[in-house]
Amino acid sequence: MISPFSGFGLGLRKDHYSDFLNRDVPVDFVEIISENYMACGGKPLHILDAICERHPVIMHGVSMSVGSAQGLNQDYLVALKALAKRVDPLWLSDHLCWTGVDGLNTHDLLPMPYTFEALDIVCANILQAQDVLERPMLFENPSSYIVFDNADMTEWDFLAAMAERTGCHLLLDINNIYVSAANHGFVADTYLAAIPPERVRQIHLAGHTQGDGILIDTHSTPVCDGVWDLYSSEIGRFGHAAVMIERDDDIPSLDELLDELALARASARASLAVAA
Amino acid sequence: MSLLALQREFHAHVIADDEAVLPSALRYDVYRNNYRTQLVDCLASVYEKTRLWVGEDSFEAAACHHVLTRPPTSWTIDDYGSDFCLTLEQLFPKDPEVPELAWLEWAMQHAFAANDAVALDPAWLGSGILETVDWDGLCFGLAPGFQSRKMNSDVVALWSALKNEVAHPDVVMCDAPATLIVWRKAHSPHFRLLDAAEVQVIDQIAAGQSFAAICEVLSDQQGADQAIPALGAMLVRWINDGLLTLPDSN
Repeated sequence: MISPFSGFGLGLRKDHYSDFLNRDVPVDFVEIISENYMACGGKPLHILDAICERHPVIMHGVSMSVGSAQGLNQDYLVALKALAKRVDPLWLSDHLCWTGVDGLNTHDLLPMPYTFEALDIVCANILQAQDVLERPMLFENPSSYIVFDNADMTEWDFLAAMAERTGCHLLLDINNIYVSAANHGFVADTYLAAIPPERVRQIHLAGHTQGDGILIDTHSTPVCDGVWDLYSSEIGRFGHAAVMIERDDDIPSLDELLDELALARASARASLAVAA
Repeated sequence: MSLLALQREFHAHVIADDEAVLPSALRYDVYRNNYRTQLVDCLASVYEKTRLWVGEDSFEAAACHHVLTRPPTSWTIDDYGSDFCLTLEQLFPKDPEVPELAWLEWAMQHAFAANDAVALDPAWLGSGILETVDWDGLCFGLAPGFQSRKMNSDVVALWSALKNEVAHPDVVMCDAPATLIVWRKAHSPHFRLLDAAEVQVIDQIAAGQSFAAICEVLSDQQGADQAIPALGAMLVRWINDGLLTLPDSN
């Protein structure tokens, strides 16, 4: 069980190292990409140590490949655990996806078929990871551009079953739900309504771009109005969760992201006031 | 279809070259494009000077070739491109400075974030601390990110010219291959060419030879009167450079 941590934070990016080291940045937490600091030393780790002294830290991974039919990489788990020991994070998270097969890695978050077999495999991998790491984890819903025709269930039912069976928590990326809903023609509200709120510990807000007949989850733009609307309508159910603006490309100034984070705070405050 | 079979088929579509026809019903093209773009961007960010030297179009072609022929195997994308110089050796067989420049860029990048180790402190020189060391059994370590390579071109001059944005710098070939080393001191990567006398000793340290064994080899070759003072001078320089670490501190 991970205790709820309500607050508003940002993803730590190299462009903002100087800001975080030299300013009093008004965030409740920072989220690091775990792989940027695993199996390394030198200045990156030195900076991470300094930031850990200033802010609560969440470790967010991209390489666990929890959906891999061939199981988890033991070396990866050992390195992740070592970093967690150093950082002492609020929690660790990764994605419901797979990243490669037969020793090859795409470094992309590849989509799962939502089958009973896949659920068994994902749950076994999550239980193994949580056993090695000696703590429950969070897993994030991915955005996707493909729906497999052999699915036994929806993505939201898969996530709920996964959380129920493994005791893991969920990191809800509202933008990813928005993108996948547009790409696959489902209703985002239906998705969110099926998510057990008590399992949600964190929310990501991000931007996307319009591709060729499809929305692409680029995390390179500000949060769009549609995602803000979804967030404000649903935050009442997930008000205990930590909320974060996630930008991975075309990184703007820290102040620009802080302005966007202020919108998330204001929206949550307004929605929770109405709910009360 | 089992999950494993599906993942193998999906992965084959993602890493396929342009000749491969993707199933049109599913948007594999999005994943293939993401895969290639991310890896080519990764190479471009690591190999900025190589890109500048060979030109945008040649670099893009080389990077795409590398992505198609050498897919990533590590769990961290930070490892991707470690063997890009091998691809460049194939693609630029008449331009040895191209893979050599790429090797230097990779080594510098690697050294920047290499695992920490405790460097021998120059303050210890003359302090008496080193007099307590068991020199016979001592095996030095080398600094974080240490790598060495024999260079046929004056890649040091080329690096400097590119760093200083010199337009169309000349490439000078070495009369004889020279050994270039890269290492990190504190938080900064460094590189320099080794003197001929240094090469043998550094190679022995890198191979894990004890200080006593190195002394013996040099003394046999040069005589102890000449070898020991020369070795002492090297150690002083290397300690000041942050090149030597305490044994087992990696």
